[in-house]
Amino acid sequence: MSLGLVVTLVVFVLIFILKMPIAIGMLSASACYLLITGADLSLVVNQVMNTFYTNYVIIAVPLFIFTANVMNSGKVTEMVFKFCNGVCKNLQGALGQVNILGSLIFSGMTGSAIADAAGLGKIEIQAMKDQGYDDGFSCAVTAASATIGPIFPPSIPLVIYAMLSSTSVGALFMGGMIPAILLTIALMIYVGIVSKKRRYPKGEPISRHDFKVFVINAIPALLTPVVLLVGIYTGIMTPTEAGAVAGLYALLISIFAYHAMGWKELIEVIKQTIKDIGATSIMIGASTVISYIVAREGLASSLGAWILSITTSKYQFLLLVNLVILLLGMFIDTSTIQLVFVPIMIPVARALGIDMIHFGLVVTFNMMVGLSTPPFGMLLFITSGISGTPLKKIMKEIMWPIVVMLIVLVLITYIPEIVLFLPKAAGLI
Amino acid sequence: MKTVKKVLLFLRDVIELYIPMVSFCLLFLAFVLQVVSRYVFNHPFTWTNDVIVLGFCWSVILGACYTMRKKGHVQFTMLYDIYKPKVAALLRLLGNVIIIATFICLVIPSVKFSIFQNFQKTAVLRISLTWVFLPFAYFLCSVIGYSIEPCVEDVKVLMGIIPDAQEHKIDADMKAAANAGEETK
Repeated sequence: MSLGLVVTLVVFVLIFILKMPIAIGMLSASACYLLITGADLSLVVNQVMNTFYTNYVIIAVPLFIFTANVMNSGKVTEMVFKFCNGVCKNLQGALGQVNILGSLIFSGMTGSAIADAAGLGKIEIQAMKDQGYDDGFSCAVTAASATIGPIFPPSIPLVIYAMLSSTSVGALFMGGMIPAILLTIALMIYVGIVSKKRRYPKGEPISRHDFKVFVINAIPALLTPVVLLVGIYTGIMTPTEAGAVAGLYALLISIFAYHAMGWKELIEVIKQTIKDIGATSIMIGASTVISYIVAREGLASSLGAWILSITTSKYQFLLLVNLVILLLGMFIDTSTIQLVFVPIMIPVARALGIDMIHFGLVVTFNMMVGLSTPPFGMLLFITSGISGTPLKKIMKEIMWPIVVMLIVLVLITYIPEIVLFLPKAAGLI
Repeated sequence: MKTVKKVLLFLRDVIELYIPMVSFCLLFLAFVLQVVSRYVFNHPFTWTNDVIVLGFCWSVILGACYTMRKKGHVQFTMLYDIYKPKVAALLRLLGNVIIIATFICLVIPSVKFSIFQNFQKTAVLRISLTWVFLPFAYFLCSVIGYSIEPCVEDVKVLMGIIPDAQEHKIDADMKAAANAGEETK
């Protein structure tokens, strides 16, 4: 191991100890490496800007972030919530079920767990609290159901993974459908069991007329995933273009169908989008410089050789990957895991003959579980923040939903067909 | 002096907020036009690609400066939150000094490289790639600028002029409020 690499690793560890912004710290670590090895410092600007300039796929990321922000600022979330309320009214613990079904529908529009928890989650938690659900349970279900967001298409993490692994975004999106539905069903069963035990109420009766109104009002919002997926899979638009079309569609329905957005709101949404994409994209850029260093030092191949010397079984490797990501997910943000650690794992997975679509879904699913795992689960902080519920209560209640998610994770890890069936059937792989 | 400061702050807003916002809107519209031109008019525009890529680079890099200003970059705060005020100040100061020192080293090579890229042009609109790469140099300067302010604050904490850095205090208060179940907003 060269001195440059040692110093880079030290700075990398310092990022977490010294509270440096992670992307900025990664650039600093890269600069240290280049300084020590005497390499050209312009490599940083070259790597970062070339990634943005030549990687067409990642342009989908800001577009989906924009769509999510539009959806959250308009009345879309409210319409989705009312529609799900009508659908689930006869189920035990109806609002808990609404929470999960709502997340599945919302995930077809935004592809961001954070957007789901912060937008739809706010309405859901309040409604659940009003009907006597435990605060911790309401937040835990909201956090767990938000996990569905990046699994079901469209998905921001899957777009980034596609860039990292050079796989088809369309195939990844399609591969995420069955796991997302499976997770939805598993979480609904869990909510049903808990609701029966704790006697959470059924939904309030809704007249047929009101339900019709809810359905009609929700149709424009419900059509978003249809527009997106039909557009992508009929070949009318690329997944990146679909991001723009989804954003335009979200804008149009917010302005014309729901009358919920004026100039002022639109400017705020764009401002928020700029702030969000600044954080996400610079992380992507910084990670490419780190990847360059990792490749130059032969770190990935050494690690790969080491792993292959321990095991040549892809199932053992997947178990190892799952354990590592779960552990990292407890402490580190998902974007860091995806952009720093996953690129090191991809060549090994490829060498072991693991399908890249399958691997992408496994790691993405696992990272999303990490959003809910204490002590550093972003979704726990968000649900606590928007509801004023103590973190302790949420952490206590999140344990079982995590177990449910892990069961689904094991299923998709060891039964690859759950992921690969649809892309294969559609002829995408 | 006040007028100069106002003009500079406005300029900062133009570069870090208004240009990225306009760039994003242009990229968004170019995408929509691209799809419409291809499928409605059956006559695909080629220049939209240049606008998209340029808009993306500008909105991302200059937007990252705005994110820095709003403290929106992802950070690992678990350890920082549990440090005592002086330890937190010392460690954050060290982190910012590393950032400032390394970023200063990057500025000149980045400017030189951006200027060197002048010989390359975008495919259709023939825009010099210097315009694609140059915002990165501004980003470096902006990060250096935004890292100085917390350094000053941390030095004050270390010298005992103020009891705690504002960010550390807010984080600690929010954590306490979340644990106690109070309204955190």
